[in-house]
Amino acid sequence: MTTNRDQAVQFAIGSSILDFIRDEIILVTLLVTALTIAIVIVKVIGRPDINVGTILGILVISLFTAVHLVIRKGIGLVRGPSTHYVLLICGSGGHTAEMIQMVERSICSEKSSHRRWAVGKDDRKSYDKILAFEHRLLNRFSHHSLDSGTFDIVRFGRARYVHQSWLTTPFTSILSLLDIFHILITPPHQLPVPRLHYPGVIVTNGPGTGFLFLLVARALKLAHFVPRSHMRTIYVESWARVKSLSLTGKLIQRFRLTDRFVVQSRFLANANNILSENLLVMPQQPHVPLDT
Amino acid sequence: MSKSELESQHDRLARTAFVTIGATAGFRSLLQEVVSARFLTTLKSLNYTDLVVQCGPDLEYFETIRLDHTQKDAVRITAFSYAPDLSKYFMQASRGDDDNGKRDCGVIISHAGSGSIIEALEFDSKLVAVPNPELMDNHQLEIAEEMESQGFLIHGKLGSVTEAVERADTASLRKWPPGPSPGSAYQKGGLWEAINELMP
Repeated sequence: MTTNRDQAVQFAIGSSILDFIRDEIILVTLLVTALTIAIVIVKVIGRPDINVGTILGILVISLFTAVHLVIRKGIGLVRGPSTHYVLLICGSGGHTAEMIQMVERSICSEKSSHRRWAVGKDDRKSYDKILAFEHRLLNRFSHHSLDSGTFDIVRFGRARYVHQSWLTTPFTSILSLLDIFHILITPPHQLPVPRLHYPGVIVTNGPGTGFLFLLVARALKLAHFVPRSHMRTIYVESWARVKSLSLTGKLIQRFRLTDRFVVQSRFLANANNILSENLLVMPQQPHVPLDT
Repeated sequence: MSKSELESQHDRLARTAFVTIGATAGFRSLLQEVVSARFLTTLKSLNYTDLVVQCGPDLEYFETIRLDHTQKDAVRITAFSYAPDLSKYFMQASRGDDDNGKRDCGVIISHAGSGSIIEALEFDSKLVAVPNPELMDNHQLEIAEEMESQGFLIHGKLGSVTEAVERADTASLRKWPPGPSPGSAYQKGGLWEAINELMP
């Protein structure tokens, strides 16, 4: 049985492949040409001791080195004046509302600060809520002659949609991972690139994709693509979880993926996490008054 | 409208019950209950003037079930599907005296989603949170029970939402937000304090 959801997923996969080919057409053409030339040369020289496999291997290795060098060059740019770049990963309605609430109450004005919000591609309501919040924030901070910094909202494809067939899940997961890489390593447009290359801190509060984000961030750091001082991570277990951790929470704790693991209920507190009761509404008195 | 009618309307404070079931999942059993004759009669006896219902995906369904109960001099029922900012409606159900006139403290009847609960608690009203039993894995029951035991809201159960609203009328609920909790982290600076602790 083919449902609308399946069709939508198939369409998403198809259009992403098309997008990739269109965007990377030059790269793909170059690669194909290089491969053809290499094979032709080998054939013309006719040396039996070099086979196509070797050439392919050399090409892949040099390509990888080139990419690695380009990204390493970027790392040099991180060291500069201190900046405040935070990535906030929100999921469905409730998670987004909690994240906004936590930020809205606690946020202070920082020097050259940037907030990147990551939401699901199909989550229009979260997008609107964040936009509404940023509007309130600008209004409130301006009222007190404070700088609220800049923000952008980026969107990721979900690894698995509700009721999606498990057959297509590997494909949507790969697409989701590509989005996550892109979100983690592309700098914001708003401020001079060198100053805000990678997020200093990543915060997530529960959507399943948050786990993937933390996993990719960990991989990037292990591979030395990103310096250890950046992409520090905070996981806040939802305020609604009073008796047991969520699946995402359990996974993140099991793999020790975060620098700070915060729970909001004393029933969940233990040696591996930080108890912060009602973090959702702390501080009780915001540093910048809420009403203008 | 005659002069006496105007005056009597002026004397009677507006009092609103706002029902919100969230954006994503439907909650027909709650919608049925808030248009039942028993519920509407109770609202009337508690001097409610308005019933505003946010129906999410079930607006059409709601329009079909509410028809039976339209009678003269009854509580005015307004329904809509969803709005990105519900604060206007929460406000209507709260005590207030502003451009929209003077209002008595009403009641907010919400599904027990964590997002809706924290949104609703920000207003000077009484909150009745009704867990949606069709959503098994989202811990609505857990959060409603815990928040009731802390005294911030009334846990409404399907089948006795009317009683919950009656209870809300007399109950005094704890003020939101709760104060800082001793021995807990980040009570002074909240999430931002945690972020700044790690920021390079």
